[in-house]
Amino acid sequence: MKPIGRVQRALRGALVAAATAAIATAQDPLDGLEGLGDLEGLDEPATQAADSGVGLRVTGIRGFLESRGRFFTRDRRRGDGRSDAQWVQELEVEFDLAITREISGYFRPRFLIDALDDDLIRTDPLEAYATWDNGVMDFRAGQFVENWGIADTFNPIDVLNRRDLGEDPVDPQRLGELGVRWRWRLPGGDTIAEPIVSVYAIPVLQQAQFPNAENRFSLATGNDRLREDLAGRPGGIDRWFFAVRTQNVLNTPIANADVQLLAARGPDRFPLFNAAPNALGGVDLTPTYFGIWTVGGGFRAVPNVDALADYTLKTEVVYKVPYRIDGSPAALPDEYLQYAFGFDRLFPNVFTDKDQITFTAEWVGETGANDSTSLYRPFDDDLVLRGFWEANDFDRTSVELRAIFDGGGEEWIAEGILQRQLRMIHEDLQFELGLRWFEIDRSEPGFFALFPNNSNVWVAIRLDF
Amino acid sequence: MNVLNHGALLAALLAASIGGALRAQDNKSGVPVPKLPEFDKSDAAVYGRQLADYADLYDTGWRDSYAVSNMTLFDSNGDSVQRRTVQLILEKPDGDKSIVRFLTPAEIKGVAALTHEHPDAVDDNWLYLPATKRVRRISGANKTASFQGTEFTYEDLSNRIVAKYDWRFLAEAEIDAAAGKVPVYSLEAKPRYTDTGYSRLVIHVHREYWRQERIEFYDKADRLLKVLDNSVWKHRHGRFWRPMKIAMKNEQAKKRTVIESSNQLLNLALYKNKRTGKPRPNLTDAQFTTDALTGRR
Repeated sequence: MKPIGRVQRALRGALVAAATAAIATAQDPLDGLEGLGDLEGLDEPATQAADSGVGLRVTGIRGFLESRGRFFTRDRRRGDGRSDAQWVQELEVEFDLAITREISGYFRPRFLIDALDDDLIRTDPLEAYATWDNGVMDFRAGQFVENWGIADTFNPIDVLNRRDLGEDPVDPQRLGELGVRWRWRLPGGDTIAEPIVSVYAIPVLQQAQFPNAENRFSLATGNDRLREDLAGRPGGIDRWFFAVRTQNVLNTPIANADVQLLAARGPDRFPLFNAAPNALGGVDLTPTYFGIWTVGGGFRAVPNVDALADYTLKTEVVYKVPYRIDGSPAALPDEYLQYAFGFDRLFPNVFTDKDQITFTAEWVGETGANDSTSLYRPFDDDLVLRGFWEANDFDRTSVELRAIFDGGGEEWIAEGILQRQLRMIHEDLQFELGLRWFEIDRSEPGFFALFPNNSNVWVAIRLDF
Repeated sequence: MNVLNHGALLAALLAASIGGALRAQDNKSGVPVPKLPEFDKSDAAVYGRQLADYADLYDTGWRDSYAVSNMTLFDSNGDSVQRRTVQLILEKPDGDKSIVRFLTPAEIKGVAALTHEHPDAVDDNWLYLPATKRVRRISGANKTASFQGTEFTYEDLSNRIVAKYDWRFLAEAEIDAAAGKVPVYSLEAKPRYTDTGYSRLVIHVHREYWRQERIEFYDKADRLLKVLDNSVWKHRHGRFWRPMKIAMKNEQAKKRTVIESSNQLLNLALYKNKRTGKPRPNLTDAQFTTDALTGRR
């Protein structure tokens, strides 16, 4: 068993046991108080845990059970072993735990299986951590996920977490990283408010989860093999990921903004692949991890000018500097700048007296790199357009349309998603119908040109609880 | 702050015993009732503004608020759905801060919104979506949008800052309320800001308790659009009136939304923790940050 496996399982086991015990002994210390018997949702430790000692209890549970069928509509039956359909069953549960006044816990396991693909099974603790918080600073240890992104579709600043590329590589699940986080909440003023400084240290390099052989985004088909077992594992301090991040609210006469700055160093979450001929006549693709410095920042702002007050402006910019780990890889990617900037605008009461449309336009891409690996990063100079219509009716109907156009070529991707509650069956049962359409430019190297055309339609039923 | 009916409607909600008595209790809040000024009744505009200012002053000093509420949405056919929220408000002289967090239905459980109000600028608004674990700043300028499909718009939920309206005294009248005839001052308030769905409001303020009994909202064509009725009043600490039930009816679409509280507190420090016997702490700025919005630090 790998060390990481032992740590994860031990932590998961401890939290499950603790949570089970807590359910049996949970008491609301405010029960019976006049007017105070039901302080739900109040983020104030005294209301949620005992004043002293350890009295672990579950303070919140939520999650979903989903069944999702996906049917690929183009390039079917190519005879390369790829499956033309998925039928994924997924259960995800979140447990909020109170341990003492200053220590809380969180546990989010995921269970996923594709009924049509025996190799796609996930039993992960996406997150399992404990947090000590004294109001001024907090310390978190365990496996955790953080979303640093500001833009809608492409988030170059979001470098902390790996992704599960195995089930839906286009919209992948974030995977938790096992490490620690220390944060300080500094005194703020009128102009710079809510400043927070965070330091991250992640000593374990967990590998990304790649599509397996039957997946239509698989790199290993036919005689080609994906050799994750041969992946280079950096040792010592090279495998550590460090990051310093600052956040604050900036209030100025021109605009009010949420600003963050970031500096990070450590193994990139997405490896290169070393290709070597194999005995089958194909190639063995071996993930090769390399290090990368990331420096950048971003903001999300609302102008204080009447003419622009309906817009939310957003920007992410990072500069990335790759470096070798243990002399690998031989061909190091070039340094490059990644960016995403654009705006959101809300249009209320478009078709009814309750509905609204959020329109998004973003320009995303990168510049500075000329090496071959840069051709396979998914965004170059691309325009993202998105419209999200919410009916705000009893069935919470919504339609999301998104399109990404390659600014320098013929490639584009479009996606449409309809969601609606099936209240006639159960108020928390949701129906989803989606379509994702690819037009791929195969005249030049590119990420999507590596695969068959993966246009697909999907249907999902989801029960939230 | 300088607002009329601090009450961000949801905030004003509360817990309470159905049929709560209207009888005024002893003032245990530590906040004296402000002295009535000399009103200038010769000018309807001046008199209206003076009444609005006094009603606002009367409802100042409650410090913080906690409320758990059930929202029931009715369509024109009588079909209904329910949502449950918890709301925290921190009273601030330069703009209140509030958080609304959804408890049900399950699909939006944990969704939370944070607002920092600014009397002289666009409010700061953030939204937290548990599905993405992301706090996102959103524009605060679209106040005419429906709040989660209810008959309330974001404009309705904002504090009515006195200075943002032109006031006019209309009449001393009696209106039919749930508890019977109620003596009121009827005031007309015309928004001075541009992002509004209304041409004017008619606000009926109780002549003795200085609380808003009813508000009539007129659309841009000056047709009656909505009527809000506050009822089942609770007299918090013998000083501040809060409605246990708020009903907003759309007179044109024939839809309505009813908000009822199962629990509501004002000035948390005036409640003791039963187990420790100590006063509870008041809410602080630290509980109204983007970091706190997630409910999980």
